[in-house]
Amino acid sequence: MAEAPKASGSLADRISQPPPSSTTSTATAPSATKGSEEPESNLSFAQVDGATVPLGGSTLHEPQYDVEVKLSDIQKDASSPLYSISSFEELGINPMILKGMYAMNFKKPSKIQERALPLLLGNPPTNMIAQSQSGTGKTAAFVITILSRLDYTQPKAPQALCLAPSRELARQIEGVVRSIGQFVDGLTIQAAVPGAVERGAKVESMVVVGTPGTVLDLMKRRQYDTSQMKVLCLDEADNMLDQQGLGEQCLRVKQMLPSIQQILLFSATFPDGVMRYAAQFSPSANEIRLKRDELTVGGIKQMYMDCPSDEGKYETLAQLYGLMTIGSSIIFVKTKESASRIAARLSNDGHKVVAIHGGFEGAERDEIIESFRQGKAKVLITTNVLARGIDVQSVSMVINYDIPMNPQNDSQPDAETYLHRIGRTGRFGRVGVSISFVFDRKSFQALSDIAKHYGIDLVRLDQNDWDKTEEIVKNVIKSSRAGTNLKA
Amino acid sequence: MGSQASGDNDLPLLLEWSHLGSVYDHDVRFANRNAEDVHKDALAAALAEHERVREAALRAYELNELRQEQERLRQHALEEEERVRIEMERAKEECRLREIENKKKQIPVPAPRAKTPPPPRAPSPPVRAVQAPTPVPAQPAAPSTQKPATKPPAKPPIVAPTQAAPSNLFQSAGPKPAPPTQPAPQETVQSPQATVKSSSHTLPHIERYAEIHQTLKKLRAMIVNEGKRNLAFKKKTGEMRRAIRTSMGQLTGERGSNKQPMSKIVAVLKESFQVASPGVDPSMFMITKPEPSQQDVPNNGEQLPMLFIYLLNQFAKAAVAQFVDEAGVSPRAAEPIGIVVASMFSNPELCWRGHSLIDILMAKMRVVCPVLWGIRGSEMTEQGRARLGWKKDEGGDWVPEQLHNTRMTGLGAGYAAISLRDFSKSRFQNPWPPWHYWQSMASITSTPPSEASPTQYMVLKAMVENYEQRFFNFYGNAALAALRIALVDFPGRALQQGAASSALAVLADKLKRDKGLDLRN
Repeated sequence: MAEAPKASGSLADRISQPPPSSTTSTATAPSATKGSEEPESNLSFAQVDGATVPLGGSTLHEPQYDVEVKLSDIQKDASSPLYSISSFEELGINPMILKGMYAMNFKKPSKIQERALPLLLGNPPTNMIAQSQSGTGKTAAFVITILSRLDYTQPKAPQALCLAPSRELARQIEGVVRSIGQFVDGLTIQAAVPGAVERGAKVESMVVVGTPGTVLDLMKRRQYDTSQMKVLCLDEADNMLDQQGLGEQCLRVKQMLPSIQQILLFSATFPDGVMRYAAQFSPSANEIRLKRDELTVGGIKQMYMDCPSDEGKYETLAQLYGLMTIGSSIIFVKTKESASRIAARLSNDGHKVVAIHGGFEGAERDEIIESFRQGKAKVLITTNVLARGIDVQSVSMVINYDIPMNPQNDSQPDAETYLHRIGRTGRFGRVGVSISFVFDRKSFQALSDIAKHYGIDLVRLDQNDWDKTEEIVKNVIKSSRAGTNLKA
Repeated sequence: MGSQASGDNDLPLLLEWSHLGSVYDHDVRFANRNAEDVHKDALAAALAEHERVREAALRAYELNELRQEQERLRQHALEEEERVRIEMERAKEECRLREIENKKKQIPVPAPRAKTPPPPRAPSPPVRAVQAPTPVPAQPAAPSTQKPATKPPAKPPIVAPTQAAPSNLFQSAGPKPAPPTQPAPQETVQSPQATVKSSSHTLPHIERYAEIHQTLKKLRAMIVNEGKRNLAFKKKTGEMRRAIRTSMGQLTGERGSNKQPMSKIVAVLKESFQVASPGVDPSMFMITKPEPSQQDVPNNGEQLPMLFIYLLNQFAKAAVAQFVDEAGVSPRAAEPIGIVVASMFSNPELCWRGHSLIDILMAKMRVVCPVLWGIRGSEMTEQGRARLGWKKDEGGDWVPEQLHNTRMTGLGAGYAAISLRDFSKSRFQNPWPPWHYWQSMASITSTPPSEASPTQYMVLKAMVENYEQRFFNFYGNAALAALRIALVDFPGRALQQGAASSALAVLADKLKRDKGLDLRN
């Protein structure tokens, strides 16, 4: 809807600005400037204006009458992680890879892509440790790098390896490689997750995406030829290097790659402790880091709901879906049992629900995630398994049915997990909503500790007057769109 | 000789010089003249020559065939274009006639109006001032006219409907006196807009749709006001609205999986007939006013409950929001929404006098995605962006490019999902038949390169992607020609090859790779 501009003052400000690029019109006539100062009050006015534009053949071209949009309006906030001025073409990406990007509706590089890609693609290959908020295009950045480094005359030799902490994430990255590489002739890709490679079968793809344990096994059994390996990439790197088992496996994988040219570490979070280890893992690397208060993406609107009791949470949950437009949603719960219970009730209410937790086996988990990704199911209920990295574009709401607590110490809130959970929505600059449920002193305290940790304000929602709550949510979503759509 | 032949496609010429070939070029010395070898040589040479001439002829024949086919396609496309043009002109003419009619209707209105406006209301903007008289014809009794006068100037539009509402709330079926007067003031509001001429490239009714959109906003305000007086009513409408929104969010692409949300939406919409609410003239929300049907159809009277129209509007809003938020990122999600939209607006029980009320949704689509209606604009200018439906945020700044792209993608896919529905096996009438799709595509692709915008490329791409097959099913060869224009010619003409036009062109490559359909030849 073309609503009326709020203040004519801001319009006047824009007028004084020279055109950002003189492609269509070179000059803005002063008389035109005057005309545009009249408040362009509503849509009908816009139509009047449109009608004055002469049709083709006339010497008068529309831009002479219209006011150029100021560049800072086009890209409002230069500190936004999606702010960029360049285009993919300017970054010198191979046209075939570019085609895949266009097919995926990528239009412009995000900030991390714009900053990282020149470093990643430069020669000689240099290591990289890159941190950027969730949903800002990290995966695409390293996938482009990988595809640009491959030697396409050796389609059967593994040349790039990408490691992820879970099979879901590995599968997802595999999907991204396939999409971006869809127009690249001769590209071969393969997943190395439990059950994906038969015993004794050779790994014969240029790009391998897998989990550390499986990849290590394949290498040890000599199913995986490492002689041509060029690039190693760790996604959710902090998580992999931090965990005892995974970190060990990653290191051993790395040791089995003698000729590696480039090691890439990507994550949304890099706690200081992990950072030191990361620098050893990926020596003399270029680094792109964020400050702690830059971690949350402003496009994710964070709210909390005061529930009457633990049991009362369900009624509240069911109402949430009427408050706003929701594509897909993810509900994080603490236990398998409550996951199944909530799933059953939501299904009864007409929702298409899937639940996933540690109790499911590998292939089954792939299937569940796939049906969610395809939109066959629109509500995903899960325990912590999925907090990281999973990118389903249409997720517009994340619910913390239970506040995340530290697995080692149940009285400590788990701030990192909270961040990764809410990062499942608001992907690539879209507006997403996160709602956390609190019902007693402990949950309330845990949530406010998390809020304090990141310096964020949570909006309180009330379950007594749904009309009012609907109004609040509407305003919150609107205001998050307002200018600061991606306050870094 | 070879070089001479290669450049030449003309059959007679080929035949002319062919006699100079090797047939007479053999050994003619007496001793060998009748030798078998010579004879064989001559035969072989003759055969080769024969083959060559034959092939040349065949090639020429094939070429001619191709040329004829090409000419036929071109003719076809021309005819099609001409047809669309004539149709559009006809529709525009209709629109003009209707407008004249509307004006005729408005003539009596100004008279009572002169009496009513109390002085304090003068400063309020014209739109509101005109709406104020509504209660006058509705309730000629003195008290009601006095009341708004005593209110502060900003309030009248709010007071007015509330005044009209209670009288209607207690009227049961067939309330003739009050509401029919409502369209009249609405039209007066719009009359200045009548000066807005649609350019030849815009589709018909764009002004009327903008009008309907405004009228719907007023209707919504009325419902809100009613809710302020009547808390039970507010609670009920809130629940109904949220139920519709929830159901729209539950739709998935799985076959047969949408029964529950669909029947829920129908149930809510039908329930609005049971809740007491004033009647309104549905033609206020339609392009053309249908006469009462001669057949036995539901809702054949003069009015429909205001709440029903309100909920249809909420349904339309939910559909558009779902297009924007969900289909924008995963365009396939548009399909089930399109199905439900077509199903609701074709359901006779939710129609008026047997005619669909889909104009309520189209008014919304017209405002959020004007390029579907042939409207053009430059993304580099303020007014251009406004024309293109580029949204502003609360602070009055344009929303970021990424967000705009997503919106347009979702809306383009949504429009295709609504307009490419096959009703051949349905008992109901298609509320928005495929020719609308053709019309929108034609109006976008006929944009001259200097006026084409990335928004158009994006909307067009979203309209085409995943809907190629349906488009073929409806239009056959014409669809092929149209796709060639949309995916090859139109982006090819772009002055600057940006991401948006390239993405459109990549769609042609995808079709070639996935479906073996080569549009570039």
